[in-house]
Amino acid sequence: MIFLQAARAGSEISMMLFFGTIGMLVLAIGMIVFIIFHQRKVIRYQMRLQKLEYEQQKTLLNASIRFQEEERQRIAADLHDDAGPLLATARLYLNENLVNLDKASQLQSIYNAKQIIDDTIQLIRNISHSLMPPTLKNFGLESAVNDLFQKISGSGSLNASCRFHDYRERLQADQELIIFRVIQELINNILKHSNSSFIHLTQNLSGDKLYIRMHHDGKGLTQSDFEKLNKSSGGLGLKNIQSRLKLLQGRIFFEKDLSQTYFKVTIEVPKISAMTVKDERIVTY
Amino acid sequence: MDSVKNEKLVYNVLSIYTIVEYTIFSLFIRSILSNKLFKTLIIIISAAFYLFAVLYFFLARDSKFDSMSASLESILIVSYCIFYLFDQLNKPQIIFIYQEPNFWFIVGFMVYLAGTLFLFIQANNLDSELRKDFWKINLSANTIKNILFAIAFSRKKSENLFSHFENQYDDLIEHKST
Repeated sequence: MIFLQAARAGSEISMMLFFGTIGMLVLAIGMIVFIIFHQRKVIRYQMRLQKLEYEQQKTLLNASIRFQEEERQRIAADLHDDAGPLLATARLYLNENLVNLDKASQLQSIYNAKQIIDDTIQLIRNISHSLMPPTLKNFGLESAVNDLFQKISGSGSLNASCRFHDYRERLQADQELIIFRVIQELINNILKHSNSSFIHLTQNLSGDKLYIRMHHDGKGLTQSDFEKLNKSSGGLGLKNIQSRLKLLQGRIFFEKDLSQTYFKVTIEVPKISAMTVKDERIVTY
Repeated sequence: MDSVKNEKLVYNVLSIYTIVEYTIFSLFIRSILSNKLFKTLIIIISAAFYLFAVLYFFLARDSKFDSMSASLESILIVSYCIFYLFDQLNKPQIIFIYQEPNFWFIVGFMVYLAGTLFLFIQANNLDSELRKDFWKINLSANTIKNILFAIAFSRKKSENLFSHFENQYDDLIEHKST
C-alpha cells in the first residue's frame, strides 16, 4: 500500500527509495542464498571424500589385523609343532634318567636330552631371527637384505642376488624395518606365486629419494593388477605393503619390463637419514 | 518552539542510538570473526566512523535525522557481514552455515540494514507525511530482523558433520582390538 501511494504521489525520491530498497534487499538475500548453496556443495563434496578415505582406512585396518592374526598363528604353529615335541622328548629322556640307575644309560639320556635342547634353542633362535633379524638392527638394511638373499640362494630354490649402490648413510631404524618387511613380503609373494628362477634387488639414491628395485622372472603383477587386488577383499600381503609404505610416505610400482621378459617392482621412499635426526638433536641440545 | 525542541531531542537521541547500535553490532561481528586482518580492519574503520559521527552530529544539528551517520553505519555493518560470510567460506569446518546461530544474526543485520539504507539516505529529504509512511519500511525490517534473531537464539550449536566418521573409526579400532 505504501508503495502504491508513493507511486501515486509521483515523487522522484519515493521512486528511488522504493527501487533502492528492493534492490538492496534482493542483493543481500541473493548473496546469502548464494553463500548457503555454495557451502553446501563444498561440504557434500568433502563428505564424499572423507567417506572414501574412511572406507579405504577400514579396508587397510582389516587387512592389517588379519595379517597380524595369520602371523600369530604361524608363530604358534612353529612353536607347537617343532619346539613343543622337541622339549617333550628332552623331558622324556631326563625322566628316564631319573628311573634308570645305570650310569652309562644315565649319561646317554642326559647327552640325548642336551642335543635336543640344543636343537630347540637353535629352532627358537631361527623363529626369533625371522621375526626380528638382529643383523638389521646392528648392521643395517644392506647387511640384513644380503643375509636374507644369501639364505634364499642357499636353499637352492632360486638364484637371489642384491646390490646396494649407494647406502653409505643408514636410514632411521623404523624406516629400515619397514622397508625390510616390505622386501620380505615381496619375496614371500614371489616365492609363493611366481615360479621365478631369479630375483635381483638393486638400491639407488636419487636426490632425496631412495629407490629399491626388484627384478624377477616368472609370473608377476602389473600396476593395474596391484590396484585391483588392493581394492578386493584378498591381497592381504599387498595391502600390508601399502599400509607400511604409507607410513614412510613412500610408493610402490609394479611393471613388466619393455622386453616382456621380466617383472620389476620399484619402491620409492623419501630419505631421512639417521644421521640427520642425530644432528638435529645435537642442535636442539 | 516546543516542536523544534522535540526535533532536536529526537535528533540527539537518534544520533546516540546510531553510535550505540553500530558499536554493539560491530563488536558482535568482530567477536565471531576468525580472520585477524578483518578484526583489525574493523577497529580502524570504527575509529574513523566514530570521528565522522561526532563531526556530523555537530555540523548537522539542524537536521531532523542523522542521515549520513545512519547510512554509513548500514554500509559498514553490511560490509562486516560480508567479511563474516567470506570468513566462513574459507574456514575448514564441516558444518552447514545455516546451522550456526551466528549466521542468523548476520542475516538479520543484513536484511535490516540493507532494507533501510535508502530510507536513511533520503530521510532528511522526505516531508513528515511521507516519512511517516516510509518509516513502515524500518518497522517491517526491524520485525524481520527480530524474527531472525529469535531463530538464531533457538538454534543449538551443531556438531561437526565429520565427527560421526571419526567416532566410527575409533569404534572400529576398539572393536577389533578386543
